[in-house]
Amino acid sequence: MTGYRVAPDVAWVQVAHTSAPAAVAARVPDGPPLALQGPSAVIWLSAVEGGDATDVVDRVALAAGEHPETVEQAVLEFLDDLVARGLLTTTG
Amino acid sequence: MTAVPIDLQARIRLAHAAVQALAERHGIDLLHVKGPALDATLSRPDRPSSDADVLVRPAQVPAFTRHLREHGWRLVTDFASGSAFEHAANYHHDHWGYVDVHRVFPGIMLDPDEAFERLWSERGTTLIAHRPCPVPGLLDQALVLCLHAARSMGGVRAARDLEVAWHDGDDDRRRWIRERARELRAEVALAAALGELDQHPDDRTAALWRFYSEGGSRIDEWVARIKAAPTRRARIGIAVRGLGVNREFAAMELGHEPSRRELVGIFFGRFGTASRLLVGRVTGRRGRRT
Repeated sequence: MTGYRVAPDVAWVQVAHTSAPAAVAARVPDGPPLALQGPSAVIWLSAVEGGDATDVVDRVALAAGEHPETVEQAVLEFLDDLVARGLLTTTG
Repeated sequence: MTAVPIDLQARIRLAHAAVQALAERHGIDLLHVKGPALDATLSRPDRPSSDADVLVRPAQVPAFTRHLREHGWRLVTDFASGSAFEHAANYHHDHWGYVDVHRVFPGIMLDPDEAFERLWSERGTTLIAHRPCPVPGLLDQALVLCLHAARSMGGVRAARDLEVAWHDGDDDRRRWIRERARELRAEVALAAALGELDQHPDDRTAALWRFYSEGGSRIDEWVARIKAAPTRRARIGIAVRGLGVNREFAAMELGHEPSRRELVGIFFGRFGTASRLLVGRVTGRRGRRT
């Protein structure tokens, strides 16, 4: 099973004091930064905890109060997008 | 995914991380100071930052600023025009916002390279935007806060910084900060922060620190800067720059690029008696009555 972790040249911040989950991630030193809010931030914050795709899907489902099957496709697609942007790398 | 504006405090953290990545790539030594670089025991949530601050090893400043420019950072304010201390240049990046590049800390009079080395030797590491960033040691951070408070003209924020860095500490911390200030030749600036400038009546920078710690008029500042200048040549330079003799205008009048001597002549010619009175105040002489 594919695992995910933050790419070595990435900086990221969880934004505090917002009603919805929010985070910003960027490759440094040149960027660009990617602002994440709501579901995209939940997926990012779940992915940075590590583990494989199932772990990430389960965390997102728990945060959303949904069954994993409901969110799985969207989560996996967004994880692929984060990998394509160089913000996450895959393991395993 | 939704595009949203980037929170300012998050952006400042990313600026620290971006600058650190650049420094690592090019072998530059720098220390992250103030704002998110502060130790949790010295920081206050009600003191948001407006930019990222870094202190760069002085000998590496030209190389570092060149790398900044190569990576999209644009010079906003150079060292000479940034402040009376000429201690920092300000750069802006479309992604990361503003960074203040310090080559010295105002108040530290030790040779800048040596001062940096001493701070560097006591450095720690803190995570900013999940990236390890070198920072001054905890007590050096406290000293830097005190020195910063010394040039804040008695502002509320400065008083709070001083409270956290100095008054909330124990005697051991205060003793260490005093010793470190002596080592870095920052006793006068520390005295200004602590309201102890009267203990340094003969120091040429005391008037300047009194102005920066307590406030005053532009004339007070001008006189204090002249007193603080280390050489006669520097005093004349400050006198000319401070009262705004325009070099381009002088060149038009003279028909050639003015020499320093000519600029001084124009300066005194323009300001006449008022200038003599002010110079008398600087040197302790009274202006001659006419």
